[in-house]
Amino acid sequence: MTSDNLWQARTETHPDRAVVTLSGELDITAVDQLRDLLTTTLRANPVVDVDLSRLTFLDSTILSVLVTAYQDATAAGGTLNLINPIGHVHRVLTVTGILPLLEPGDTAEATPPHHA
Amino acid sequence: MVSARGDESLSLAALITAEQVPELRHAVTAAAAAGLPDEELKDFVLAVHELTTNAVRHGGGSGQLALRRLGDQLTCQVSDHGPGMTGQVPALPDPTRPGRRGLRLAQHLTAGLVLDNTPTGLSATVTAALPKGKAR
Repeated sequence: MTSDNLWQARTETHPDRAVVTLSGELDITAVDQLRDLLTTTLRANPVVDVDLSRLTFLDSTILSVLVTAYQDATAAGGTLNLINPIGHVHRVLTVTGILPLLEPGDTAEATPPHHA
Repeated sequence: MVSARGDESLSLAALITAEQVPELRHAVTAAAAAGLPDEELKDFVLAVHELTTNAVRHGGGSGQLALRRLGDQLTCQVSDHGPGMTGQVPALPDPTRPGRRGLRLAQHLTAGLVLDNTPTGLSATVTAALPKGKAR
């Protein structure tokens, strides 16, 4: 499938959280795989940072996946943060009002987490 | 002065299917790159992408795309084979809720979104203004 070449995900597990780094372009063809990845990661890690610094494109279907994962995380007592969005990804998350709610607060440590 | 009718050209025409959504996005980017600066290009491409995604999800699964330059404007029309649409473009949902943001994004990121119900389905057109000096 074309979508296999469009995006990649890498997950790092830290003592206090998991960091999922997404790269490339995320669109409707990635919805099912990304949803499964975030669900699985949240099951093992109540706090998940989604690093968007290498993501160049996302669309409305991916916004719904991220927001749903955030809902699932908070319902389970954890959280999901969007970190380091750049360029147009930052713009889309901002105009939809999602970024202020899903980016870590002022007290949160930016990635990488304090880990030797 | 409104541009002359003769000043119209078709930049891209393509069939839309689910598998081709990413390819179409790249083709629209390539075709529009000469006319639009970076930020406007990305806005326009996402808007068109949202329309093609809508055609696949809600418009009967397929459609047609036509990218045109009309004088100092770039337009992209996406026609689908779905039930059409009544009412307004849905408002953005609460930021913490999933939901349909595509059409509202397309409207917000371009100079305009026009929706028409046709006998065969929904026709959605977004427009971007070409900067002066790049209009030809």
